[in-house]
Amino acid sequence: MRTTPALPTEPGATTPGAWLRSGLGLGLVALAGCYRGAADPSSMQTDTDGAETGTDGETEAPFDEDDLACDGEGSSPFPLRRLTPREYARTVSMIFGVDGAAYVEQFPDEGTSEGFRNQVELQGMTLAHVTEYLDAAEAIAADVFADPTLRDAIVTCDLSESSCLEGYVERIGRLVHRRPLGPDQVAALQQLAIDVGGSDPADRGRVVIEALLQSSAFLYRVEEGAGPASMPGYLALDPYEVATRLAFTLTGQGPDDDLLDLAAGGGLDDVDGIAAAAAELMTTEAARDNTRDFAHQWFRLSSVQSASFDPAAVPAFTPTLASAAVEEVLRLFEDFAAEGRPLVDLYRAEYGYANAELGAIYGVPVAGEQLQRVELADDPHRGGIFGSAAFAMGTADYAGTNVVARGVFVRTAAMCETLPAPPPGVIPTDPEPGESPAETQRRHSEDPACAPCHELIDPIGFGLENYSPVGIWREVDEAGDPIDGEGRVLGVGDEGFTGARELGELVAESEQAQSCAVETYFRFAFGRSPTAADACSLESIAEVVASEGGTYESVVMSIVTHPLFAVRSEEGSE
Amino acid sequence: MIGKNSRMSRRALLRGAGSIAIALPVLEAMLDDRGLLCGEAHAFGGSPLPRRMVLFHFPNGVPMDDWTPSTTGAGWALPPALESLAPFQDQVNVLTGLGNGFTSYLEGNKHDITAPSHFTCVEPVGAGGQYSSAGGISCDQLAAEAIGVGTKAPSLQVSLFASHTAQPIVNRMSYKGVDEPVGFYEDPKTLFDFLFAGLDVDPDAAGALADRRRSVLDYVQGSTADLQARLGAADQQRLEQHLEAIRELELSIAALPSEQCTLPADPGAVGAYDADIEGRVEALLGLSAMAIRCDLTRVLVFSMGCSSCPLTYDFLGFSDRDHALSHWPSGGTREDNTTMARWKVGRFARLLELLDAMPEGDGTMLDHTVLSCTSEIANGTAHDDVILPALVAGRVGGMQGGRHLVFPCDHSSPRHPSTAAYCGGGRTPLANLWLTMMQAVGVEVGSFADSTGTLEGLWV
Repeated sequence: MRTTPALPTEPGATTPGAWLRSGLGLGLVALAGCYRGAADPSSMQTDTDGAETGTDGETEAPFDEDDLACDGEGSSPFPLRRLTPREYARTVSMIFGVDGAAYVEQFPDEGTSEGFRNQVELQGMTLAHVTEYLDAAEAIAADVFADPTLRDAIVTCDLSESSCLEGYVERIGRLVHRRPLGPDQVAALQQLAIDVGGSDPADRGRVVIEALLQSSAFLYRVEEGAGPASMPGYLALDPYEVATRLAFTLTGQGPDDDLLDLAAGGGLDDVDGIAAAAAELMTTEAARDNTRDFAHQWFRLSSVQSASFDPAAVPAFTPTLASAAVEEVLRLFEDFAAEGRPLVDLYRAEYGYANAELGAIYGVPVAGEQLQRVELADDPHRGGIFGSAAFAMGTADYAGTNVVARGVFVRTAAMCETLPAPPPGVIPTDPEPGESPAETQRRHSEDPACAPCHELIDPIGFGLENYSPVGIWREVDEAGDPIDGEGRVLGVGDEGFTGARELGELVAESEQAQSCAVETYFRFAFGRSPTAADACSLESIAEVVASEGGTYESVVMSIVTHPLFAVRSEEGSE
Repeated sequence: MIGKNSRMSRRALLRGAGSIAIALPVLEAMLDDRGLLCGEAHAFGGSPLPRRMVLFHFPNGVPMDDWTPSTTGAGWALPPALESLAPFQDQVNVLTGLGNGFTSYLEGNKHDITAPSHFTCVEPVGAGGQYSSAGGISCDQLAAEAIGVGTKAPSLQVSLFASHTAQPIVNRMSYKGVDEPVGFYEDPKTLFDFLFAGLDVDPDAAGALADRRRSVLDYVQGSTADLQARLGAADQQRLEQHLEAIRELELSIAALPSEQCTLPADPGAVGAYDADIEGRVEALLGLSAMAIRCDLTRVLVFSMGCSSCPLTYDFLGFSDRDHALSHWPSGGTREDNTTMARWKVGRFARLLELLDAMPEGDGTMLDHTVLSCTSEIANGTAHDDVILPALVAGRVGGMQGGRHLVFPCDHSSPRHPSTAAYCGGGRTPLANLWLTMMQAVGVEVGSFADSTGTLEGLWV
């Protein structure tokens, strides 16, 4: 499951170009080979107009299984994924009608991986986990049977009768395991209910829930596959596994009865069925929550929510300001998703959302605590993700701005580039009296040993120095010196930029940002970073998405209708 | 590789024979004045009193010139960073010269190297230019397998703060193996619930609940094993971890507190971690000490927080974060760092005080406990792990305290003048300390990671 560590060992021999690796760019190197090796070049979508659309208006993704071919790179990995605390909470809410979030508060903290909370490498399994699963299962079972409304929603007969118990086990078991239970599983659970619960119907009911919620078929998204796929090296998922992937990807929770029924009836057996089901799921409230969750992770908004500042240096900061700033980005993303606008335009949006407190940061008068749409087209300093208070707060230090963090955000979150950690022996440059943090950083980055990396990162942050740690426009820095505000994104628009909007224009036009939405949603959907084996799939998806305007819908639909979404690799996670 | 033949504890054996494990009371009249019976510390019925291992960690190092005593052997004057140890100076040994040395050749931002390697003493691993895991098992987990089985928490990890979201690897110090981190409890209420909730029920009800849970877990184990058999090798490995965790859970749900246990008060919900750091540390220390007292754990890792975590000690007069200050002289000053370290070492002294106030046998809990106090880096200036600050304390097996012991070491950096004055060349792996401590509590291991032997001079 783990590849050999590829940490650079000889800094002197490493060029900036090699250090600055785009995840997708890495794939592109392999892509020349993979295109040459494709069995049928005519099937590849090599021009931007080549995307097929069903003549009857029905969505039909223009992929076939040749799109999985990436010669010499092996199969895409599909490691076993465990439910995240959020997925656990949402799924038990859906099945039992309880407030699932209350049961996962004490689950072990999972941390994040480049902003993402659902990556498989974060998913350990220790005594602390199983202890919490035990506690949660017992509490959920007890709460369901203590509330007649919740209980009657899942118990429709007398559980002391064996036929009733059997039906109960089958019904709840299907939802929890996300597939029908086998006869042996039903029998084993019935026996457990009788052994532990005796003849007490409520206790029988509870113990079934306790056992199901601690079972690995619930806690993991098990994908055994139904048989060989037409592509060598892959197994086709069975319909329930497809339903499960769809449900977790699009709604952040397990499939409901309707989706499982659809799977049982053959409705997910082909790409048209998957596309139709996905389109339907995307209209649900759960999908809306999930879209927000995706945006939250992509733009690393948890670091805004957890931000804290030196009150003396950053007096404008309050927790309510952070909440409003987070909500602004989520609203903006929701708008762009709903209106079918290109996601890269998020970086050059001409409006935002603000309440009174956030409006004061932006210099826009707004009344009240509710967020309202504010027009920013006439203000060259505002608009777009990089001009938002959320971006400023999420990338700031405790007492000032951090030009490196801002540059790294743009390179990694918006452009999906990979930056190396600092080499060993780096000692931060000492500040001189009366110097701003940015000036100290500038001297540090002039050091020939540090420059190769920092020239990629820092000029972006220097161009945003006019934004205070909470995003207030300022003409002088922490030390009282005037800010020149000249920025540059090496390799992208060499003429440079001034202010967040111009930076947003540069980034939005860049090839990296165009494909980054696809790569980011891929990470979100598959719970892992792309590998070289995914490069061909990502490339073909990115082309289709580009041809469809780079919208959120096209990103989502292209990924869930790609052949990769309905298969797993043959050798487990390798 | 380490032998694991000592994994079966008395309790595990009892359980294997079909008994429900109960903590056997100590009949103090049967113990001699050292708490020993037949040459070993024993409880009623010939069972030894449990020995415990405590690894106390504080982040971001200390100016070594303010930490290292100016003389060796006994009778050293307390250096500024160790002043808070005064009441326990005769219980504590300062160990100079121990180190890991990974930062001297591995690439990374230091914290991603020093956190995962501190208790494992092997290089961290990762892919794509980022370290993501320790490279092997940590000494607390080895000890847990040997002496923790059958207790509520075979090992207990407690940290003031271990939720640094930007760089998760710095939050983890305990590992069962590669990619198997063991997380920290950070919140006093959560820690209390985990350790003590449900312990105040009557024994019959507790027994019935444990039986019920065992039945459910038997089902879970069976169905997980069925599933495991149908999966590929890598997925099987993940389910094996799960099954191992369930086996530990089965043992821990039957664990009952020892006779000498006094259930602490529920701390209730506490505010944000940074609202009252002092109160939070005190609560966590109290719960941890009582967990040892109650024999709910025998292996404790107590961390004063992760290195780059956003910890600010306003009660010490600082408005900058610990980590920012630790980059002295650019961030804070040497004096700032010594002040912070003095406070952190003071929390270690507080833990000694709590354990020494708990009678056991004819002495106190400290008689059967070995504790270390270390940081993952030395001077904040270089953030290196070549020669680390280290203390060892406790009277387990009659260990003597009160000395400054210097071990062969070498550090070419002029940033370490005080250690350079003592080190006569050579190297003493930090793993030697962990090996020494593990052996002191009865873990049957002959070596650990890159250890070259045990530390001499502690039992004289």
